[in-house]
Amino acid sequence: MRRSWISLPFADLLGRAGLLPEEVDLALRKRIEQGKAAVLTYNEAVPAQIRITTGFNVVAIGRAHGRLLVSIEQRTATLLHWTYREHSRNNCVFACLGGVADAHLAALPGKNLKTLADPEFAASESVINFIRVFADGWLEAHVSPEWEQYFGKNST
Amino acid sequence: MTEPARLASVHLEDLAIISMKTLPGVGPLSLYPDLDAAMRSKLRARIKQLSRYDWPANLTDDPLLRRGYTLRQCFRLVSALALVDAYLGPSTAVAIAANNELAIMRSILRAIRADESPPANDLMAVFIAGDLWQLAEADGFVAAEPTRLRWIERRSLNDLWTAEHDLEVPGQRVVIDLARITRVAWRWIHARRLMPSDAFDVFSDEITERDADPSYQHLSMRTTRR
Repeated sequence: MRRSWISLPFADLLGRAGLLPEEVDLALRKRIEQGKAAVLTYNEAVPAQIRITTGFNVVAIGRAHGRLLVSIEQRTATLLHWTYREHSRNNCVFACLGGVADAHLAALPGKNLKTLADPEFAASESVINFIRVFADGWLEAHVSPEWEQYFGKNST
Repeated sequence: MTEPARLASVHLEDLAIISMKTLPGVGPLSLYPDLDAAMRSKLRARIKQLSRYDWPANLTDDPLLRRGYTLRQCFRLVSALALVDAYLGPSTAVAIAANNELAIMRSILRAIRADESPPANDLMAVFIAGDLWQLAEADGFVAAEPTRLRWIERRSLNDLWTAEHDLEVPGQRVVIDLARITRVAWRWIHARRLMPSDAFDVFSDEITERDADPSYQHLSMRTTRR
């Protein structure tokens, strides 16, 4: 078995939903065995269970290079509040509608995400690397969450 | 930082089915379509089929393709899929989409910019079909440039046979409503914020930069499957 990791924010969500990373891994592996893409999409059991039990709108769970990657779009029917997407180990992006003064933004890199906005799960503790501001008022905070190994700790 | 945003390939089937299925009007989009695995793999196979014809791009001319499609490439894909949706084979669909790329992109740009205005001004793409006509009169068929799309506003659809709209040639007309399809595609991308909003500005600059280029260019395509 390959070594596998999960980010602390996603581990927090799974914990709240009463799921283990191994179960998610298994669901992904089943899909691969059936010859389907290794992504758990919106309507599948695991994302649906997380949505119902935690209220976080998990839209996709994927896996790349042994890492489980989650994608969340927190929204009402018409309005998107924030998104948190893990694209890869080094590319995790939290995006929300801004309205933050430039002077304040300049001080944010290096601090926790909750100093900018608090999504109320463990992603708040991730450190901000840099922030991009867009013309329509949205801003993207590129964060680096911590990763924990949930499988293959003792193998090489 | 300066490279354009990209739509990851996991979203392509959703993009395809939403842009093909959504009815005109302002009703809510189904943001997370319920596609079963069989349907998804059929769509995926269609998209792969197009990519064998180097459409919307190949890894040689865009090495970053593995990261996903830029907005322009998404629109290229959607326009070819719209033609595939009209029962055209991929080789014909890609040839038409490639030869008319600039015209298609200009009509898309115009449609999305005029999102709020009544859609009567939308440009509809008209494709001249002539499978039997071609047998009778091959020279005339080639001279009519059947892979060149003609453009007509939605309110002028009664004039599908007039010289005024460059539509005096014989052959059946297939009208493709690209404006609506791509408007839905962008609305969906935007509603989920799968690309930042400046992706559209980048696309718009890319197309307006080439304002002087002709809207129809006959490209020799690679037609063999690899």
